Amino acid sequence: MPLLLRAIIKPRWYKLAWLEEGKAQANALWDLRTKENKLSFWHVNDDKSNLYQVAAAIAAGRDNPDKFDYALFDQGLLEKTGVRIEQTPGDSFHKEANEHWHRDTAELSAQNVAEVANIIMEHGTKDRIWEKEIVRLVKQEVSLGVIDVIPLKNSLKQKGLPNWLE
Amino acid sequence: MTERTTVNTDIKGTPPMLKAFFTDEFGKTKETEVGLVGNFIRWRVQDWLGTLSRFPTTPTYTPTAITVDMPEATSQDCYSGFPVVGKILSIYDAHNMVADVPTTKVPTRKPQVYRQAEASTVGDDYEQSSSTIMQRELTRYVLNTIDCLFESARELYFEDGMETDFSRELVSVVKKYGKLAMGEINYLITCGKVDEEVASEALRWLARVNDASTYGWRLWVLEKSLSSKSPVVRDGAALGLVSMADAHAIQYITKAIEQETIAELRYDLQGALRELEACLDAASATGNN
Repeated sequence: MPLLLRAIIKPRWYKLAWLEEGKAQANALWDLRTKENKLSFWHVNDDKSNLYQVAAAIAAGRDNPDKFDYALFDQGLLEKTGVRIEQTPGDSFHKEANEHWHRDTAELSAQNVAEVANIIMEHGTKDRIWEKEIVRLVKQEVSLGVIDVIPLKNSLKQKGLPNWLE
Repeated sequence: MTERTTVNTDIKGTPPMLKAFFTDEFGKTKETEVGLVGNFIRWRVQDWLGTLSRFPTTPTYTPTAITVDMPEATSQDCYSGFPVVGKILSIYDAHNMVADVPTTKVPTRKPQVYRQAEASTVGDDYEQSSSTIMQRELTRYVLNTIDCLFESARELYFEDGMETDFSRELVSVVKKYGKLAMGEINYLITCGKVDEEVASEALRWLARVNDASTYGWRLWVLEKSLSSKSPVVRDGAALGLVSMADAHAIQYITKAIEQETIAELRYDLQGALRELEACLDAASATGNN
């Protein structure tokens, strides 16, 4: 079963002592902000073979190089709640990711969002890719020609990458 | 008026004065964290709950902070100009080493505000007093700016790698006002006076400020914040320390790992330590080439 990825801030998902088992902090909802009652995710193959490409796609759109926190969970768990998941074009600088890996969940209720939070909390993997690795991944995707270097922010291009365009 | 002793500290650029021991009018010893603002020492009224008011019927307003010049503060008799009276016994640095002690009994002083008024008719004193007033006004302005900056950031949504008005303004104020700004920022963060996500974001950006004059202050607040009550702040501190890539932080992160009770954060702290060591190894290898 494929996985869904959502960029998060890890401390919002820590299991704090006062939390009931499997419940997420209210602050986790900051990472599940909806727009037009939609929540955006990225598809990750079940063998995670495209995980780092997706991470690079998201990180390339940032102002500055930074670590990348993400949550990864089984798409089937979300489908079981009745949430409809559809493939839509992404708006990253990564061509392949935009074409194939972007997902939207439409017509979400507040209850659905809370369910997403609890699914991530109970069943999801929360992990971090450090800044140095993210820079390397973005550079790799640029060199493969799948990320367009022109729209990237200068601070990202210049971060220890004097040979960015080589 | 005071004899400044050399502080034997292994923290390069660490702010030398962080903690002060006072006695109030009953002779009771009290301890508080203080901020060093240029040649001024500063502490908060709310740190002084229970301190006797010298003038119990005044004032009609409640000051939130007191700033007095260093010689005044370290003299035997310390008048703040506000109804809080005490005397500083000694001032300690981050390693509990004495950084400043009063050595000379100073004649009884009138409160600073009265001295300024009197000095206004005398040439040199007037210039000095004007300078002091300007310094205080500047201090008040900067502190107010920083307080408002942190307060207004409460409603912001922070994302990794994304700049905000808060981050831009924070970096700007630190570059512009240096230690004056850092004194207040350190106070707000280490005393838990600001929202934890804002504090965490601030720590991450403080680590990236390119300003040598505040390096020690920034390193100090990041290391200190590893022991914050808030896990969000502890994480932000660790991330900032990785950005600063200073070997001095290794001992603090190691200690934070030992003390961390949240498993996921302990894992992230271990990651931070690995990243920091890798950065230092890479820098060392580059330096050897």
